Amino acid sequence: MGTIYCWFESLFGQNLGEYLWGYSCDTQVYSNKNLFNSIGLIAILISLIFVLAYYYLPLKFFNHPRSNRWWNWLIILLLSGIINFLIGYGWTINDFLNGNIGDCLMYTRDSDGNIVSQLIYKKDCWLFGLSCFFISSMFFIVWSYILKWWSRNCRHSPIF
Amino acid sequence: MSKLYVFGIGGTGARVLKSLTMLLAAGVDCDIETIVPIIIDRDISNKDLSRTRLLIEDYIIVNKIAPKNGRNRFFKTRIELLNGELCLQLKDNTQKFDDFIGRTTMCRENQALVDILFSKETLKLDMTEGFQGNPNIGSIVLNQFDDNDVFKNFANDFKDGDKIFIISSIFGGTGASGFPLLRRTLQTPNIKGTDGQVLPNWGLVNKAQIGSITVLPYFVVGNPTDESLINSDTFIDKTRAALSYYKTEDKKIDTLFYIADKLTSTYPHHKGGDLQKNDAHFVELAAAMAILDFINIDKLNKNVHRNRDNIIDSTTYKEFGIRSNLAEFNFDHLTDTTKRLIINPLARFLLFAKYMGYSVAKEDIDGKEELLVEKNNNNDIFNKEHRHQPYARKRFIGDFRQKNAIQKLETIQVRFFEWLLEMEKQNRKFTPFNLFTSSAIEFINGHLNIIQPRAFNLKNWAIVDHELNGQTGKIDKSLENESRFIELFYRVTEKIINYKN
Repeated sequence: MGTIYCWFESLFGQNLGEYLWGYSCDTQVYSNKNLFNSIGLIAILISLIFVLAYYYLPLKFFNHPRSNRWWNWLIILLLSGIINFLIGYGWTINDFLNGNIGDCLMYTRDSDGNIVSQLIYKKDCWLFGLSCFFISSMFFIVWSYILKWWSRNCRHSPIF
Repeated sequence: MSKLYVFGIGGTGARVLKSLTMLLAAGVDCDIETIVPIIIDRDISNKDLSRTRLLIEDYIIVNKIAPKNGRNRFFKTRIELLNGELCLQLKDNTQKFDDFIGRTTMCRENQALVDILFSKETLKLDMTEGFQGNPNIGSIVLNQFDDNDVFKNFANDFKDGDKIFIISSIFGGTGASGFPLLRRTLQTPNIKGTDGQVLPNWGLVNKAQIGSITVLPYFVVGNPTDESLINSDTFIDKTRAALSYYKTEDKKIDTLFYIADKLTSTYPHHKGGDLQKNDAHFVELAAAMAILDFINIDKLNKNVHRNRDNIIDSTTYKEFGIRSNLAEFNFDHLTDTTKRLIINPLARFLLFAKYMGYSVAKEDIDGKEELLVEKNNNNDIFNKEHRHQPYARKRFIGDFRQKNAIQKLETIQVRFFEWLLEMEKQNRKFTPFNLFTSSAIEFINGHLNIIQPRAFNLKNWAIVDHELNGQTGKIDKSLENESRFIELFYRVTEKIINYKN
């Protein structure tokens, strides 16, 4: 899962990536929990839920004869992406603010222990959220093409 | 594979056949596979006849694509024309009555006798526009039934088990005179053609089950706009006279239906021709239902009473009535049997037509407000949705709507709307539907127990599209697109409108 997220590593930075891989500054190995797997699994589930809802839930805006235009599908994709964006951002910003990210990943220090440079910023959390948005959208597209064929009203959405 | 040969005599015959065609298009229960309409009318240019002819020709085209083995009932019953002709070809087409009887070649004494029997106006009558309410002329002119080949094609086509039905009005000219003459000819043994040979199958024709409807006055005509001899003041007297003669038809007809309406509408007065275009009337619809009653297998024991030698034991007489004598009535005022017969088919076919965008609108024409059937783009659900809905994918897109059979189908849908609208315009208004509403569900008038799908998330035309998308996978994939279209819409309208009493 982390490999997929690392396609977007240039967005959110290598250090935040290392943290999410589970790198521990104490042990110098990847002994912490791999957060990519957790966040990725949530992205898979949320996009699956939205895809199932869009194609099969008998509600307005979902499996409905007036909701089978491509833009209806796109709206649901964006909704799923935004939720994943908020989860990715919320998860990392929470760890960032609570000091859960190891010091060796957060800063470069000189021999006296003074901070020379900061390696992870708040914007990296935003950009990680954006990565989550893109990845969940990919999952959404894959789920759509796997599951849409049995939908009564939307089986030819987004492409007729 | 038996057939019903329906003889429609005169203008009323043509209009009843039009109503029958509308019922068959809508898919009423019809216990016979093929109907062969035959119109007998000297006035072949009258508008009622030409409208019926066009309708039947379109019906035949649509019937060819209508699925016969699926659930579909729209256009299911076959209509076939004898040698491609709707009208029976009468051999003698002499224009003036005095030429027909050869008055000018008669001796002076005979000419004097003819002058006593017929008025000058009658003798100079142009019969190409019918008999203009003169059954005495009709009974002479139509006597050519039994002396030439007019029935040759009919006899050639006739098979054992086929049935005959005759539609005629009793208060005009052609129908009143034509009915007893036609009945007599059909039951006369050994009719010969011009070649001197007995017509083939004529024995089968003689013995065939035969029903008839005699339409008593249900309209009057206003002041004449031309040199017409029609006078509606004489309608009742003519009816009385003809009925007394029809007593002799007892035991010669299996079932004889009567229908009339005292609350008459007044039609514009034309002697015939292109101007004779009368609005549809509920009486004609009821008369068409009489035909379906006659061929109803469940009613065979009530309608036909024959002995072991296949001779008619007794004639069954039937009349049609509605439950309340109201100037405006709808399905609520029909009997349960009639409701069961027509509510579902008419409502389903109307729903189909509405989906295709047709409705009635008020138009201002030369300062006068007119009701017209038109396609409203805002209500054309098919046009709006076919690009998006799965049921139409790869099948009903592109030039699908321009295909000949689909265009004919839509033409009939327009005529169907007009037919319903015309019945609303009569003094006795039949208003079963709200023809103005764009609603897919709330368009049937009256308090009827119609089971309709209710989904909390679906409204109006989305219900129809939802059903279309659901039903499309259940249809035989080998069907051509046009056939599939009809099958699909029948299944969907059947799901959406289901009257039970």
